[in-house]
Amino acid sequence: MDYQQDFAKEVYEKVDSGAEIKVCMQCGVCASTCPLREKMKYSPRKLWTLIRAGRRQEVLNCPDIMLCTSCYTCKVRCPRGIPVIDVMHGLAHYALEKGITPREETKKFGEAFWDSIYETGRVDEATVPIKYCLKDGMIAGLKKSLSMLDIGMALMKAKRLTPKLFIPPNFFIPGSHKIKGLKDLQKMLDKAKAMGARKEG
Amino acid sequence: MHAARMTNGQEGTREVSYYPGCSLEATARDYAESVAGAAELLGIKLNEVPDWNCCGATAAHSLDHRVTLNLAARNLALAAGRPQPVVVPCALCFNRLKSAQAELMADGAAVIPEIAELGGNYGEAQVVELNSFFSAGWALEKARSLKKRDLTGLKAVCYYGCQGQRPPAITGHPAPENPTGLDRLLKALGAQVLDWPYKTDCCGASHSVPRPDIVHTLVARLYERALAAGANCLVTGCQMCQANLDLYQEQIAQEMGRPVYLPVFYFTELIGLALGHPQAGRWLDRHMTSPRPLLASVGLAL
Ligand code: SF4
Ligand code: SF4
Repeated sequence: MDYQQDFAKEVYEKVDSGAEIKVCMQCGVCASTCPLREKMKYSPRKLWTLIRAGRRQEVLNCPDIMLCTSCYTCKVRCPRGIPVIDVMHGLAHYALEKGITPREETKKFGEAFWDSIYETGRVDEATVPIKYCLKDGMIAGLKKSLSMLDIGMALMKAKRLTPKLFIPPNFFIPGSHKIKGLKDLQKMLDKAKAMGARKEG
Repeated sequence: MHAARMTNGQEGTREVSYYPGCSLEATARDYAESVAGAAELLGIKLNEVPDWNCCGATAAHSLDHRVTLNLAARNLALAAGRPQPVVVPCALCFNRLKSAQAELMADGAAVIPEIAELGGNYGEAQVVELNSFFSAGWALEKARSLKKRDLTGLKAVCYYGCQGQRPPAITGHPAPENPTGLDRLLKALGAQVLDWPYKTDCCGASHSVPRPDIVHTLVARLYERALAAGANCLVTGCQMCQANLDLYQEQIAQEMGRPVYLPVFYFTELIGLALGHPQAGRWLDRHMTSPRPLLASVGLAL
């Protein structure tokens, strides 16, 4: 079992909002109000305990930290005013930075969104699922998109999605509208990313 | 409260800025059309923020913080100096823009030069969620006076979800645990509005693609409570909530082992229905769970 004495200190110092959990009184309000409690292995409250106990591997590899739907209930209801959601996101970012990806699918989904924003300035909801599926490679991607086909077909029938979702894996689909200021936006995204990397590196 | 600009000439017309967000251009086109329709009926001119970009919300969680902040900053800069408020139909965009605005006001230095060059004042945009704008006193009065028919027979539970009210320090929502805007609007339209405890619970949001099991569990819980309250429909002002509640209804009902028939309306569609918009039927035909049988059964057939 991993025990790393200084893990709590690491979290307080390096994780966004990490220091806030110092005042947690273990009341369990976050655990009982989190809608995902039954889908989590632990709960925010228990994760804080594991952090205090120095269980570094267990916390940073725990899928729970990337499960949060950002519903903000915990942040509103924690009697100690701890921004639980921010700590969860902070831990997820920190784990990613350290090269740990606790939940591959969420990470890939995020990357697919990023690609869309970078290429057009907006999120194209028809291409994001394709890209998301393809992050696993072609075969797995096709399987995954087939499992979404029912909903996709129905959406198409209801004219809520354009058929390009079903154009077989073709990354650059003409007609996705790009914003006018795209070049500047990309420059800015590159810079913002570089600044982020400098700060973190 | 909303200092919308009254334009000259047309009596009672308000001009506001409009930030539609990406979803309304894609899977939520039905919402987009009903927003336009409802605005027209209520005499609101929606002036789209020119060349807006993605607000970064959906992926915020997995993107670098600085990136999402800059994405929002560009939009806020573009919205400055335009008609106020800036109404936002998507709860996620609303939340993201408000959060970024608070942060930018506290620390302007976080913005990169390209954005700063847009010359914007990030604090100027008054970002308002569309459903709270449409449920302000003046809008209710107008809806009441223009109403062609009462939505009698609709037993609605209003579902507000997460991002429109939480966290209150950012959204400025006066009653984050018990919002009532949609309730008041629906009452003004003549529907029966029921109380229920799950107004602001989570629908699972963007987990619908990577983790459908999560959405199914949360949505099943919402159906149970809505049915227990005696509702025959749900009303929402968020396209993510609408999609999660509408798209998988048949499958989730199967998993629940009980029949569920709960059409999920956008409040804008119901404005169209009560005020007699000619396109209202077309909007409703884009739902997966067709509202037509319900409307027919209560004498509101289109
Ligand atoms: S609600 Fe706040 S104080 Fe209570 S256990 Fe959760 S984080 Fe700790
Ligand atoms: S914001 Fe995340 S951690 Fe907090 S209650 Fe919601 S899902 Fe749970």
